[in-house]
Amino acid sequence: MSYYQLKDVYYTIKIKGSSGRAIFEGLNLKFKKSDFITLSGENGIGKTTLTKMLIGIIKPDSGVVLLDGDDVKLLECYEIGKKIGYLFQNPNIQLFNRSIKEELYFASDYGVKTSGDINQRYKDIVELLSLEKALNTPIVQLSQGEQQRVAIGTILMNDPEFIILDEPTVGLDEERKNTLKDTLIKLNNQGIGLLVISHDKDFIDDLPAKHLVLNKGGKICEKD
Amino acid sequence: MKKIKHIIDPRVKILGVAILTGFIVFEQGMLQQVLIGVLSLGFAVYVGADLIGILKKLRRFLTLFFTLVIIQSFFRSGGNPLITVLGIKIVTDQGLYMAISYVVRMFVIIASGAVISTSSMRTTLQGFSQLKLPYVLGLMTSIGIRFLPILGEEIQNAYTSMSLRGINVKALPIKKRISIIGSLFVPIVFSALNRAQKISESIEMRGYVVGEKRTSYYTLKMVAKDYITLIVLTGLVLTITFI
Repeated sequence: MSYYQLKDVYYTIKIKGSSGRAIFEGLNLKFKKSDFITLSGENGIGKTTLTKMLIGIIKPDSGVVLLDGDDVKLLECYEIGKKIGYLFQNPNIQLFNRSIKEELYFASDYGVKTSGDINQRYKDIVELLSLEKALNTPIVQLSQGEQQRVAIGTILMNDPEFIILDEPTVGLDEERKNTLKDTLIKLNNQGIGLLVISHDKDFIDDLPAKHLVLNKGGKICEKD
Repeated sequence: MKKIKHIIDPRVKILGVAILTGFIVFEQGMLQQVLIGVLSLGFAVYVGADLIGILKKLRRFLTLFFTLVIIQSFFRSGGNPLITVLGIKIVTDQGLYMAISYVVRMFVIIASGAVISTSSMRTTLQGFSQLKLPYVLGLMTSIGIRFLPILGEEIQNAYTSMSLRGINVKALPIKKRISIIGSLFVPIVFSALNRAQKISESIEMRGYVVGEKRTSYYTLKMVAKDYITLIVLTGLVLTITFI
Protein backbone atom coordinates (compact mmCIF):
# COMPACT_ATOMS: atom_id res chain seq x y z
CA MET A 1 0.00 0.00 0.00
CA SER A 2 1.23 3.49 -0.82
CA TYR A 3 2.13 5.79 2.03
CA TYR A 4 1.50 8.99 0.12
CA GLN A 5 -0.79 9.07 -2.88
CA LEU A 6 -1.96 11.93 -5.08
CA LYS A 7 -4.93 10.96 -7.24
CA ASP A 8 -6.07 13.05 -10.21
CA VAL A 9 -5.00 16.31 -8.59
CA TYR A 10 -5.97 19.53 -10.34
CA TYR A 11 -4.79 22.89 -9.07
CA THR A 12 -4.87 26.36 -10.60
CA ILE A 13 -3.26 29.46 -9.12
CA LYS A 14 -5.83 32.23 -9.08
CA ILE A 15 -4.66 35.43 -10.74
CA LYS A 16 -6.75 38.59 -10.57
CA GLY A 17 -8.25 39.52 -13.92
CA SER A 18 -7.42 36.22 -15.65
CA SER A 19 -8.52 32.61 -15.61
CA GLY A 20 -5.44 31.72 -13.55
CA ARG A 21 -2.44 29.48 -14.19
CA ALA A 22 -2.95 25.73 -14.22
CA ILE A 23 -0.22 24.05 -12.15
CA PHE A 24 -1.51 20.49 -11.96
CA GLU A 25 -3.84 18.91 -14.51
CA GLY A 26 -4.45 15.38 -13.35
CA LEU A 27 -1.32 14.77 -11.26
CA ASN A 28 -0.88 11.19 -10.05
CA LEU A 29 1.95 10.18 -7.74
CA LYS A 30 2.67 7.47 -5.18
CA PHE A 31 5.36 7.09 -2.52
CA LYS A 32 6.08 4.15 -0.27
CA LYS A 33 6.91 4.67 3.41
CA SER A 34 10.66 4.24 3.16
CA ASP A 35 11.13 5.67 -0.35
CA PHE A 36 14.00 8.02 -1.05
CA ILE A 37 12.88 10.38 -3.78
CA THR A 38 14.23 13.54 -5.33
CA LEU A 39 12.05 15.91 -7.29
CA SER A 40 13.39 18.54 -9.63
CA GLY A 41 11.86 20.79 -12.28
CA GLU A 42 11.92 24.29 -13.70
CA ASN A 43 11.22 27.39 -11.63
CA GLY A 44 7.51 27.95 -11.01
CA ILE A 45 6.55 24.47 -12.21
CA GLY A 46 4.87 23.66 -8.87
CA LYS A 47 7.45 21.82 -6.75
CA THR A 48 6.83 23.82 -3.58
CA THR A 49 3.08 23.81 -4.30
CA LEU A 50 3.25 20.02 -4.41
CA THR A 51 5.05 19.78 -1.07
CA LYS A 52 2.60 22.21 0.54
CA MET A 53 -0.21 20.05 -0.80
CA LEU A 54 1.38 17.02 0.86
CA ILE A 55 1.15 18.70 4.26
CA GLY A 56 -2.31 20.13 3.69
CA ILE A 57 -1.44 23.87 3.51
CA ILE A 58 -2.62 24.01 -0.10
CA LYS A 59 -5.79 22.13 -1.00
CA PRO A 60 -6.27 20.74 -4.52
CA ASP A 61 -9.14 22.12 -6.60
CA SER A 62 -10.12 18.52 -7.26
CA GLY A 63 -8.61 15.10 -6.60
CA VAL A 64 -7.26 13.77 -3.32
CA VAL A 65 -4.01 13.58 -1.40
CA LEU A 66 -3.88 10.50 0.82
CA LEU A 67 -1.43 10.07 3.69
CA ASP A 68 -1.32 6.49 4.95
CA GLY A 69 -4.87 6.09 3.62
CA ASP A 70 -6.25 9.29 5.20
CA ASP A 71 -7.36 12.31 3.17
CA VAL A 72 -4.88 15.08 4.07
CA LYS A 73 -7.69 17.64 3.64
CA LEU A 74 -9.45 16.17 6.66
CA LEU A 75 -6.37 16.08 8.90
CA GLU A 76 -5.25 18.89 11.18
CA CYS A 77 -1.71 20.16 10.62
CA TYR A 78 -0.52 18.83 14.01
CA GLU A 79 -1.85 15.35 13.12
CA ILE A 80 0.14 15.40 9.89
CA GLY A 81 3.15 16.61 11.89
CA LYS A 82 3.08 13.47 14.02
CA LYS A 83 4.02 11.47 10.91
CA ILE A 84 5.64 13.95 8.56
CA GLY A 85 8.57 16.33 8.98
CA TYR A 86 8.93 19.38 6.74
CA LEU A 87 12.09 21.38 6.23
CA PHE A 88 11.28 24.86 4.90
CA GLN A 89 13.47 26.57 2.32
CA ASN A 90 14.35 29.17 4.93
CA PRO A 91 15.14 27.15 8.09
CA ASN A 92 15.14 30.10 10.49
CA ILE A 93 11.38 30.47 10.01
CA GLN A 94 10.96 27.22 11.94
CA LEU A 95 13.26 28.01 14.87
CA PHE A 96 11.62 29.66 17.87
CA ASN A 97 14.10 29.50 20.73
CA ARG A 98 17.40 30.89 21.91
CA SER A 99 19.36 27.67 22.35
CA ILE A 100 19.57 24.37 20.47
CA LYS A 101 18.51 22.42 23.56
CA GLU A 102 15.37 24.55 24.07
CA GLU A 103 14.62 24.21 20.36
CA LEU A 104 14.87 20.42 20.33
CA TYR A 105 12.74 20.08 23.48
CA PHE A 106 10.21 22.68 22.24
CA ALA A 107 7.52 20.24 21.09
CA SER A 108 7.80 18.03 24.19
CA ASP A 109 7.53 21.17 26.37
CA TYR A 110 4.14 21.68 24.75
CA GLY A 111 2.93 18.17 25.44
CA VAL A 112 3.96 16.28 22.28
CA LYS A 113 4.79 12.71 23.21
CA THR A 114 7.09 10.42 21.24
CA SER A 115 8.12 6.84 21.77
CA GLY A 116 11.29 6.05 23.73
CA ASP A 117 13.43 8.10 26.07
CA ILE A 118 13.42 11.73 24.93
CA ASN A 119 16.75 12.56 26.60
CA GLN A 120 18.44 9.70 24.76
CA ARG A 121 16.83 10.83 21.52
CA TYR A 122 18.17 14.35 22.11
CA LYS A 123 21.72 13.01 22.62
CA ASP A 124 21.47 10.78 19.52
CA ILE A 125 20.24 13.64 17.33
CA VAL A 126 22.92 16.05 18.53
CA GLU A 127 25.50 13.40 17.67
CA LEU A 128 23.93 12.45 14.33
CA LEU A 129 23.82 16.08 13.20
CA SER A 130 27.23 16.98 14.68
CA LEU A 131 25.78 19.79 16.77
CA GLU A 132 27.91 19.22 19.91
CA LYS A 133 30.19 22.21 19.33
CA ALA A 134 27.29 24.54 18.59
CA LEU A 135 25.27 23.71 21.71
CA ASN A 136 26.32 26.83 23.64
CA THR A 137 25.90 29.25 20.73
CA PRO A 138 22.61 31.19 20.42
CA ILE A 139 20.65 29.94 17.39
CA VAL A 140 20.60 33.37 15.71
CA GLN A 141 24.40 33.34 15.67
CA LEU A 142 24.66 29.94 13.97
CA SER A 143 25.55 29.64 10.30
CA GLN A 144 22.79 28.79 7.82
CA GLY A 145 24.07 25.20 7.59
CA GLU A 146 23.99 24.82 11.37
CA GLN A 147 20.52 26.38 11.58
CA GLN A 148 19.38 23.93 8.95
CA ARG A 149 20.76 21.00 10.94
CA VAL A 150 18.96 22.29 14.04
CA ALA A 151 15.73 22.47 12.00
CA ILE A 152 16.29 18.85 10.85
CA GLY A 153 16.94 17.99 14.52
CA THR A 154 13.57 19.43 15.56
CA ILE A 155 11.93 17.24 12.93
CA LEU A 156 13.79 14.12 14.10
CA MET A 157 12.81 14.75 17.73
CA ASN A 158 9.24 13.95 16.61
CA ASP A 159 10.30 10.55 15.27
CA PRO A 160 8.82 11.14 11.78
CA GLU A 161 8.02 8.41 9.27
CA PHE A 162 8.65 10.64 6.25
CA ILE A 163 10.52 13.93 5.78
CA ILE A 164 9.99 16.51 3.03
CA LEU A 165 12.93 18.84 2.37
CA ASP A 166 12.29 21.93 0.26
CA GLU A 167 15.52 23.16 -1.42
CA PRO A 168 17.77 22.00 1.43
CA THR A 169 21.06 23.00 -0.24
CA VAL A 170 20.32 26.73 -0.60
CA GLY A 171 23.16 28.69 1.04
CA LEU A 172 25.28 25.61 1.79
CA ASP A 173 28.89 25.17 0.70
CA GLU A 174 30.19 21.90 -0.78
CA GLU A 175 31.34 20.53 2.58
CA ARG A 176 27.94 21.20 4.19
CA LYS A 177 26.18 19.68 1.19
CA ASN A 178 28.24 16.51 1.65
CA THR A 179 27.37 16.45 5.37
CA LEU A 180 23.69 16.87 4.49
CA LYS A 181 23.92 14.10 1.90
CA ASP A 182 25.46 11.71 4.47
CA THR A 183 22.77 12.64 7.02
CA LEU A 184 19.98 11.95 4.51
CA ILE A 185 21.45 8.58 3.60
CA LYS A 186 21.73 7.65 7.31
CA LEU A 187 18.12 8.68 7.92
CA ASN A 188 16.86 6.64 4.98
CA ASN A 189 18.86 3.64 6.20
CA GLN A 190 16.96 3.99 9.48
CA GLY A 191 13.73 3.54 7.50
CA ILE A 192 12.67 7.18 7.25
CA GLY A 193 11.18 8.09 3.86
CA LEU A 194 12.54 11.22 2.19
CA LEU A 195 11.35 13.57 -0.51
CA VAL A 196 14.03 16.07 -1.51
CA ILE A 197 12.96 19.00 -3.69
CA SER A 198 15.97 20.63 -5.26
CA HIS A 199 17.40 22.51 -8.20
CA ASP A 200 20.88 21.40 -7.26
CA LYS A 201 21.55 18.83 -9.99
CA ASP A 202 24.94 17.73 -8.63
CA PHE A 203 23.54 17.25 -5.14
CA ILE A 204 20.50 15.18 -6.13
CA ASP A 205 22.37 13.13 -8.71
CA ASP A 206 24.70 11.96 -5.92
CA LEU A 207 21.85 10.71 -3.74
CA PRO A 208 20.95 7.00 -3.88
CA ALA A 209 17.35 7.90 -4.65
CA LYS A 210 14.64 7.62 -7.27
CA HIS A 211 14.92 10.83 -9.31
CA LEU A 212 11.67 12.36 -10.50
CA VAL A 213 11.18 15.41 -12.70
CA LEU A 214 8.06 17.57 -12.51
CA ASN A 215 6.95 18.92 -15.86
CA LYS A 216 4.30 21.38 -17.02
CA GLY A 217 0.78 20.52 -15.90
CA GLY A 218 2.06 18.20 -13.18
CA LYS A 219 3.33 15.48 -15.48
CA ILE A 220 5.99 13.47 -13.69
CA CYS A 221 8.69 11.42 -15.32
CA GLU A 222 11.48 9.35 -13.88
CA LYS A 223 15.03 10.41 -14.68
CA ASP A 224 17.36 7.78 -16.07
CA MET B 1 -13.76 53.43 -8.95
CA LYS B 2 -10.48 52.71 -10.73
CA LYS B 3 -10.60 56.11 -12.45
CA ILE B 4 -10.86 57.94 -9.11
CA LYS B 5 -7.86 56.11 -7.65
CA HIS B 6 -5.61 57.43 -10.39
CA ILE B 7 -7.02 60.96 -10.34
CA ILE B 8 -6.55 61.78 -6.65
CA ASP B 9 -3.18 63.42 -6.07
CA PRO B 10 -0.85 61.40 -3.80
CA ARG B 11 -0.34 64.52 -1.66
CA VAL B 12 -4.06 64.50 -0.80
CA LYS B 13 -3.70 60.88 0.27
CA ILE B 14 -0.58 61.62 2.35
CA LEU B 15 -2.16 64.63 4.05
CA GLY B 16 -5.49 62.83 4.53
CA VAL B 17 -3.75 59.85 6.11
CA ALA B 18 -1.65 62.17 8.33
CA ILE B 19 -4.81 63.94 9.56
CA LEU B 20 -6.67 60.68 10.24
CA THR B 21 -3.81 58.86 11.96
CA GLY B 22 -2.77 61.98 13.90
CA PHE B 23 -6.33 62.39 15.15
CA ILE B 24 -6.71 58.74 16.14
CA VAL B 25 -3.48 58.82 18.16
CA PHE B 26 -4.44 61.87 20.25
CA GLU B 27 -8.23 61.52 20.46
CA GLN B 28 -9.43 59.76 23.61
CA GLY B 29 -13.22 59.91 23.10
CA MET B 30 -14.79 56.59 22.15
CA LEU B 31 -17.45 58.10 19.82
CA GLN B 32 -14.86 60.25 18.05
CA GLN B 33 -12.54 57.29 17.57
CA VAL B 34 -15.30 55.17 16.05
CA LEU B 35 -16.37 58.04 13.77
CA ILE B 36 -12.81 58.55 12.58
CA GLY B 37 -12.69 54.80 11.87
CA VAL B 38 -15.80 55.17 9.69
CA LEU B 39 -14.29 58.22 7.99
CA SER B 40 -11.09 56.26 7.25
CA LEU B 41 -13.20 53.52 5.68
CA GLY B 42 -15.01 56.13 3.56
CA PHE B 43 -11.73 57.73 2.46
CA ALA B 44 -10.24 54.33 1.52
CA VAL B 45 -13.32 53.46 -0.55
CA TYR B 46 -13.31 56.94 -2.18
CA VAL B 47 -9.71 56.60 -3.41
CA GLY B 48 -10.43 53.06 -4.65
CA ALA B 49 -8.32 51.13 -2.12
CA ASP B 50 -8.65 47.35 -2.09
CA LEU B 51 -9.36 47.27 1.64
CA ILE B 52 -11.00 43.84 1.58
CA GLY B 53 -8.03 42.37 -0.28
CA ILE B 54 -5.61 43.83 2.27
CA LEU B 55 -7.71 42.61 5.22
CA LYS B 56 -7.81 39.14 3.64
CA LYS B 57 -4.03 39.13 3.27
CA LEU B 58 -3.68 40.20 6.88
CA ARG B 59 -6.20 37.73 8.30
CA ARG B 60 -3.59 35.67 10.15
CA PHE B 61 -1.98 38.74 11.64
CA LEU B 62 -5.42 40.07 12.56
CA THR B 63 -6.30 36.81 14.35
CA LEU B 64 -3.12 37.20 16.38
CA PHE B 65 -3.88 40.88 17.00
CA PHE B 66 -7.44 40.19 18.16
CA THR B 67 -6.19 37.40 20.46
CA LEU B 68 -3.70 39.79 22.05
CA VAL B 69 -6.35 42.52 22.38
CA ILE B 70 -8.77 40.13 24.11
CA ILE B 71 -6.03 38.89 26.46
CA GLN B 72 -4.96 42.45 27.29
CA SER B 73 -8.52 43.53 27.97
CA PHE B 74 -8.81 40.64 30.45
CA PHE B 75 -5.79 41.84 32.38
CA ARG B 76 -7.06 45.42 32.73
CA SER B 77 -8.28 45.53 36.34
CA GLY B 78 -9.35 49.22 36.54
CA GLY B 79 -12.94 50.37 35.96
CA ASN B 80 -16.35 48.87 36.67
CA PRO B 81 -16.64 45.13 36.27
CA LEU B 82 -18.83 43.90 33.40
CA ILE B 83 -18.16 40.17 33.86
CA THR B 84 -17.16 38.74 37.24
CA VAL B 85 -16.40 35.09 38.02
CA LEU B 86 -16.09 34.02 41.67
CA GLY B 87 -15.48 37.63 42.69
CA ILE B 88 -12.66 38.10 40.16
CA LYS B 89 -13.09 40.90 37.60
CA ILE B 90 -12.74 39.26 34.16
CA VAL B 91 -13.81 42.14 31.92
CA THR B 92 -14.14 45.75 33.04
CA ASP B 93 -15.59 48.71 31.15
CA GLN B 94 -12.07 50.19 30.91
CA GLY B 95 -10.74 46.90 29.51
CA LEU B 96 -13.53 46.80 26.93
CA TYR B 97 -12.97 50.45 26.00
CA MET B 98 -9.25 49.79 25.58
CA ALA B 99 -9.95 46.78 23.35
CA ILE B 100 -12.33 48.76 21.09
CA SER B 101 -9.84 51.63 20.97
CA TYR B 102 -7.02 49.29 19.88
CA VAL B 103 -9.18 47.72 17.18
CA VAL B 104 -10.30 51.10 15.79
CA ARG B 105 -6.73 52.42 15.82
CA MET B 106 -5.43 49.34 14.03
CA PHE B 107 -8.21 49.66 11.46
CA VAL B 108 -7.29 53.32 10.79
CA ILE B 109 -3.65 52.30 10.30
CA ILE B 110 -4.62 49.50 7.87
CA ALA B 111 -7.01 51.80 5.97
CA SER B 112 -4.26 54.45 5.78
CA GLY B 113 -1.85 51.87 4.36
CA ALA B 114 -4.51 50.87 1.84
CA VAL B 115 -5.01 54.51 0.80
CA ILE B 116 -1.27 55.10 0.29
CA SER B 117 -0.93 51.83 -1.65
CA THR B 118 -3.32 53.10 -4.36
CA SER B 119 -0.54 55.36 -5.68
CA SER B 120 2.64 53.98 -7.17
CA MET B 121 5.80 54.18 -5.10
CA ARG B 122 7.19 56.72 -7.57
CA THR B 123 4.27 59.17 -7.28
CA THR B 124 4.05 58.71 -3.50
CA LEU B 125 7.72 59.65 -3.12
CA GLN B 126 7.17 62.60 -5.43
CA GLY B 127 4.28 63.64 -3.19
CA PHE B 128 6.51 63.54 -0.11
CA SER B 129 9.15 65.51 -1.94
CA GLN B 130 6.76 68.27 -3.11
CA LEU B 131 5.24 68.51 0.39
CA LYS B 132 8.80 69.17 1.64
CA LEU B 133 8.54 66.09 3.83
CA PRO B 134 11.46 63.65 4.19
CA TYR B 135 10.92 61.27 1.26
CA VAL B 136 12.55 58.51 3.33
CA LEU B 137 9.26 58.34 5.26
CA GLY B 138 7.43 57.65 2.01
CA LEU B 139 10.01 55.10 0.94
CA MET B 140 9.72 53.22 4.24
CA THR B 141 5.90 53.29 4.11
CA SER B 142 5.75 52.09 0.50
CA ILE B 143 8.26 49.28 1.04
CA GLY B 144 6.49 48.28 4.25
CA ILE B 145 3.12 48.02 2.51
CA ARG B 146 4.50 46.00 -0.38
CA PHE B 147 6.10 43.51 2.00
CA LEU B 148 2.92 42.89 4.00
CA PRO B 149 1.88 39.83 1.92
CA ILE B 150 5.32 38.28 2.49
CA LEU B 151 5.00 38.95 6.21
CA GLY B 152 1.62 37.21 6.14
CA GLU B 153 3.14 34.21 4.36
CA GLU B 154 5.95 34.02 6.91
CA ILE B 155 3.51 34.09 9.81
CA GLN B 156 1.66 31.23 8.13
CA ASN B 157 4.87 29.25 7.54
CA ALA B 158 6.05 29.76 11.15
CA TYR B 159 2.66 28.71 12.51
CA THR B 160 2.56 25.70 10.17
CA SER B 161 6.07 24.60 11.16
CA MET B 162 5.00 24.86 14.80
CA SER B 163 1.93 22.71 14.16
CA LEU B 164 3.99 20.25 12.11
CA ARG B 165 5.97 19.53 15.26
CA GLY B 166 2.79 17.90 16.46
CA ILE B 167 1.74 20.81 18.68
CA ASN B 168 -2.02 21.29 18.83
CA VAL B 169 -2.00 25.01 19.65
CA LYS B 170 -5.78 25.21 19.98
CA ALA B 171 -5.83 22.51 22.66
CA LEU B 172 -3.16 24.12 24.86
CA PRO B 173 -4.11 25.74 28.18
CA ILE B 174 -4.40 29.52 27.85
CA LYS B 175 -1.09 30.24 29.64
CA LYS B 176 0.85 27.94 27.31
CA ARG B 177 -1.00 29.29 24.29
CA ILE B 178 0.07 32.86 25.14
CA SER B 179 3.64 31.66 25.60
CA ILE B 180 3.68 29.80 22.26
CA ILE B 181 2.24 32.81 20.40
CA GLY B 182 5.11 34.84 21.90
CA SER B 183 7.57 32.27 20.48
CA LEU B 184 6.00 32.71 17.05
CA PHE B 185 7.32 36.28 16.92
CA VAL B 186 10.97 35.18 17.25
CA PRO B 187 11.46 33.90 13.67
CA ILE B 188 9.17 36.55 12.21
CA VAL B 189 11.02 39.49 13.79
CA PHE B 190 14.37 37.88 12.97
CA SER B 191 13.35 37.42 9.35
CA ALA B 192 11.90 40.97 9.10
CA LEU B 193 15.18 42.44 10.41
CA ASN B 194 17.16 40.34 7.95
CA ARG B 195 14.99 41.50 5.08
CA ALA B 196 15.25 45.16 6.15
CA GLN B 197 19.03 44.85 6.12
CA LYS B 198 19.04 43.25 2.66
CA ILE B 199 16.70 45.91 1.24
CA SER B 200 18.80 48.75 2.63
CA GLU B 201 21.97 47.18 1.20
CA SER B 202 20.38 46.69 -2.22
CA ILE B 203 19.05 50.28 -2.26
CA GLU B 204 22.50 51.62 -1.37
CA MET B 205 24.04 49.47 -4.11
CA ARG B 206 21.80 51.29 -6.57
CA GLY B 207 23.29 54.60 -5.53
CA TYR B 208 20.49 55.70 -3.23
CA VAL B 209 21.87 57.93 -0.49
CA VAL B 210 19.54 58.84 2.37
CA GLY B 211 19.15 62.59 2.83
CA GLU B 212 20.83 63.47 -0.49
CA LYS B 213 19.08 66.16 -2.52
CA ARG B 214 17.16 64.64 -5.42
CA THR B 215 15.77 66.11 -8.60
CA SER B 216 12.86 64.80 -10.61
CA TYR B 217 11.48 64.89 -14.12
CA TYR B 218 7.90 64.65 -12.86
CA THR B 219 5.82 67.28 -11.10
CA LEU B 220 2.48 66.59 -9.49
CA LYS B 221 -0.30 69.12 -10.06
CA MET B 222 -3.32 69.41 -7.77
CA VAL B 223 -6.71 70.04 -9.43
CA ALA B 224 -10.01 71.30 -7.99
CA LYS B 225 -11.13 67.77 -7.06
CA ASP B 226 -8.00 67.31 -4.92
CA TYR B 227 -8.54 70.59 -3.04
CA ILE B 228 -12.22 69.77 -2.46
CA THR B 229 -11.36 66.28 -1.17
CA LEU B 230 -8.83 67.71 1.26
CA ILE B 231 -11.14 70.48 2.49
CA VAL B 232 -14.08 68.11 2.97
CA LEU B 233 -11.92 65.57 4.82
CA THR B 234 -10.41 68.23 7.10
CA GLY B 235 -13.87 69.68 7.71
CA LEU B 236 -15.29 66.30 8.67
CA VAL B 237 -12.39 65.61 11.05
CA LEU B 238 -12.84 69.02 12.73
CA THR B 239 -16.58 68.42 13.01
CA ILE B 240 -15.95 65.06 14.69
CA THR B 241 -13.51 66.76 17.11
CA PHE B 242 -16.18 69.21 18.27
CA ILE B 243 -19.01 66.66 18.64
